[in-house]
Amino acid sequence: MVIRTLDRKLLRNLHAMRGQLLAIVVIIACGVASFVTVLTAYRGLKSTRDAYYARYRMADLFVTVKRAPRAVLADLERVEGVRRVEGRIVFDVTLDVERLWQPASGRVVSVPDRRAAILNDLHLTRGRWFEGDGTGEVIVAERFAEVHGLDVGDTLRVIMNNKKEALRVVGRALSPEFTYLIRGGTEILPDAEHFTVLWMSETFAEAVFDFEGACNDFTATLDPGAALEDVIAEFDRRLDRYGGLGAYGRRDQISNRYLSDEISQLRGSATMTPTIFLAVAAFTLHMLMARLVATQRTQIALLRAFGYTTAELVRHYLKLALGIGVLGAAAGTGLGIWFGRKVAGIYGDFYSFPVLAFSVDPVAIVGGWVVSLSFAALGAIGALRAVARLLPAEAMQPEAPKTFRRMRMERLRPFARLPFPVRMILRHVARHRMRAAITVGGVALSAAILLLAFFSLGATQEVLDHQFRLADRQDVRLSFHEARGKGALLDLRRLPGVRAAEPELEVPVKLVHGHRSRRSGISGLDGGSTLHALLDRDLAHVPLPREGLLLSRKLAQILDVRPGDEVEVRVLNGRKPVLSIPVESVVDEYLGMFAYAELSHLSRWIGEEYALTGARLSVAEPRAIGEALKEVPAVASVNFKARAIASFQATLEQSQHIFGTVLILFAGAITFGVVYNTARISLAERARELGTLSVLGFTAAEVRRVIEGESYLLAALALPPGLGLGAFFSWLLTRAFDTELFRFPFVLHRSSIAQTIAIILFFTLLANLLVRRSLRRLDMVEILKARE
Amino acid sequence: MGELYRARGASKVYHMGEVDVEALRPTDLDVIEGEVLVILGPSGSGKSTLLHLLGGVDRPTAGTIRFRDTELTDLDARGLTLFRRRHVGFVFQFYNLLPSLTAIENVAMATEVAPNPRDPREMIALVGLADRADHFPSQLSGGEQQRVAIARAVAKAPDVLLCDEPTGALDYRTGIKVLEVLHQVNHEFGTTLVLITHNAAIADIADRVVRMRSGRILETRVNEAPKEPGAVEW
Ligand SMILES: Nc1ncnc2c1ncn2[C@@H]1O[C@H](COP(=O)(O)OP(=O)(O)O)[C@@H](O)[C@H]1O
Ligand SMILES: [Mg+2]
Repeated sequence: MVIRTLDRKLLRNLHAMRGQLLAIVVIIACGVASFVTVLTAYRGLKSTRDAYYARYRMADLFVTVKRAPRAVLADLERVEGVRRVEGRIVFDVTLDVERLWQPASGRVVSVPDRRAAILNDLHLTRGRWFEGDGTGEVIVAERFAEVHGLDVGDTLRVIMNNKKEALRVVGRALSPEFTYLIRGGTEILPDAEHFTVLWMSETFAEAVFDFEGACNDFTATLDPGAALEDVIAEFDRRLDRYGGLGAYGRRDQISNRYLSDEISQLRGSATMTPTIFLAVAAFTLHMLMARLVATQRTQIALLRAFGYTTAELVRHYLKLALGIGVLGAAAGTGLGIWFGRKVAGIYGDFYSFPVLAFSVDPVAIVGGWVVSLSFAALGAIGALRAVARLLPAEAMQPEAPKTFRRMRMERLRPFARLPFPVRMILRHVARHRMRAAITVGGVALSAAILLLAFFSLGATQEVLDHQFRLADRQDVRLSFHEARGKGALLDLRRLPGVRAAEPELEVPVKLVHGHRSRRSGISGLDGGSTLHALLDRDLAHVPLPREGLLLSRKLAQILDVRPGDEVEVRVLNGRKPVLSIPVESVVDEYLGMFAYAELSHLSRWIGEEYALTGARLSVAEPRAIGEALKEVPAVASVNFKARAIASFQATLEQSQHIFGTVLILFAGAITFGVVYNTARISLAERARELGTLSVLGFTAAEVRRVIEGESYLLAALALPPGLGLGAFFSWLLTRAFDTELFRFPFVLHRSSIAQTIAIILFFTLLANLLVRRSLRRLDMVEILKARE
Repeated sequence: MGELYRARGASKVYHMGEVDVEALRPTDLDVIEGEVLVILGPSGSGKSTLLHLLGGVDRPTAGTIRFRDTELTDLDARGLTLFRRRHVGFVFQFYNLLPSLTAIENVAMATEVAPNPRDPREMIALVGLADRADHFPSQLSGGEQQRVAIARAVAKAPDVLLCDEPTGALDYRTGIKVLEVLHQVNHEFGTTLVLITHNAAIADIADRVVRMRSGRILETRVNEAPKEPGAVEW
């Protein structure tokens, strides 16, 4: 069979170019792997969340009230679109954990005495449900228990309703409602060390909080297709007289929002990075195939003269390209599935999902193959067209001699002063513009990926720094269960080691502007506040508004208000006044979304003389104050800044290290692969020149410089556009990441740029070292004998 | 006059898979300073192999080759590179110019690594190409390219010029022209000239002629009356 012979030739070709092909396969594999990884993780995380929510009946709607009789449940159930409503008792409490010298905060959530299929159901990881009426028993959040080594049988001291009680831990549990253990309100970072949910039996909670026959929190699921907004309006109407704080949907539920942000972020990266890799792979393959076809012109012509059809020959070369695609896809999907599971495992650990829906995703695999093969075919198109166009007679002629012309830049005087190897390099690059462009493009893209990675690492750090070092200057931030008078502040100032205490007043409101509205809190601050600096992105101090409101830029955008506009402020607690307040200014913050007002004004809006719901403290000795605050019943939560940042930082760093390492390896693979391929092609084309130089008495190092110089020149040429593109990607990221919880500053550090350059040069060097091996094998004598 | 080269028992065996090819059987050869030595023999007789050994681009399988006081066989790769750089000028059948450098740049580049080079412009003028100095190889004819290659070899001020079929790819008239240039270099600078050819007519310009066949030297003969290249015909 003739075709068989052709196939054998193909295998021999592949073998001769194995180094270069391997480099391309690696690039394709990286692209496919990143695609499969991200897709596997994205789909896995999404279906895990959905399965978790479905199995444990995550509510669609949440609302907190001051106090309502349980009888109101029947009323709520009749609201159109509601499938099921449950009432419960929810209170924020302070707890005294032995391992901690400062108090932690807890959220009591009541559940039925007897185990039942409730909404936001618990997944017991250890222990059991309550015994009898559950008095004195508590089930704690798994993550918190894990951090503190709390187990069934341990006791937990909790200050509830001004009394300190020792509760017996009977179980550890997970809940879809608290996938992220985050308190919400002024706390915007998850902190499993200092916050836990305390599930108690209804009977016990009723007794502790004097809530017999009453509840203060409702959750509901809706019928499919029900209009959430209508149900919310109806709930708010019916719960108004019970002090309803405004119902909200799952979308605004804080744990869910964090989780959903994470998921949509994954989806974003499922497309960009793989596309870059595969495009580079296609171009590199194009370059290699073009070279292959050029050197085999005579062979191709001969085959055509023997009577092979164009289609047969095209198929022959296409097979080569697809072979590469197959190898890339196989390696890439394998790597991707393995790594996707790793990522999924990290997520699974992080969220402690009781349900794991991660599986080998057929869509990811099929997608990986399709993408790999199409890009490989794409890379081969140029070469295939060349094969198809080649006429037998024409191809039998030797290829036209290498012609060089003077470049325009040679008219410049300095050119004449350049050393000869440099002139050779420049002219060579100018002659092979397309190849140079592909190399420059590939290296530029990897520089861009790297800069983007370093940017996002730096930017996160920047945000934390801005928020926790410059804006939040307190050591401790605490909140009370209820609004208190000026006396509470004086009490705080008398605690041991307190250097300063500044009041804060948090008022839950709904801000309305036209048809836009948003639940939010207004923070009242003292005019002379030094522990909370209101800073914009340029670190300029933003003065507190005198009469009106100061809004986070994001909040102003959502409400579509500008300074000078009036917004309707519907206070959600107390006497629920509705006010019209002007927006005085807007501040650009990175974390969360807030509204600020001057504390005494805010107090007056809610009908008080001077009220505070919390305070910021500067303390000499955190430990002493921590122990002291454990004994103050009025305190609902205490946050020690240093600890909170440390624990957040730790989680962040873990995921960033993985992310960073992978990106560096991927970008390195591109740079390496492209530079190596170009150098090898250049080496093959110029073997004769190099041999001549060697015979003329140039040393191996001098000969090498001609090839390596080209690599370094191309890498250097790639850096400016690469860094520019990286800056652009980074800027895009700041736009894409403009969420309600996080925003990034667009700040590129010099060190990020330096690291990017260093890594690019490192991988260029690595590629050159490998090329040296082939260079050493060059046989001068053979080269001199060979006819052109 | 002294000897420039003294080869004793120099041989070269190539291993081609299972078979050994004796490209050069053990050979004694002296090259005298300043002479024009022509090595004549049919294709495949081992001429190039011998030349490569003399030029230090390859090593003999056995035997020794001395250049003045240096045993080439004692030199390592770097030593051989330095030897080629200081003492040897090569001219090949297919010119081997660097295509990305102009004629003058090709010459100048070679001088950069030589200890006492000649002026590249003068060398280009010597081979009669002053007006084409700024052309790239692809813009020159074969004869012109070969003259540039000679200028390049001579510009290093080598002690010996090793030419492997320098006229092999050229037509008669151009070939004569190239031989004239080589002859002139030998006369003007006293550079020893070793010239390989399978063309017996060219041997007439030699001071001595070595005839080879099947990897062996058949005879060495002194040419009493060397001809001027212009008087050679084939
Ligand atoms: N690298 C090599 N490997 C194997 N055989 C070789 C090699 N170089 C030359 N030969 C063989 O050695 C013999 C002499 O070659 P060469 O010196 O090039 O002859 P000439 O230059 O006289 O034509 C030939 O038979 C040739 O095939
Ligand atoms: Mg020969």
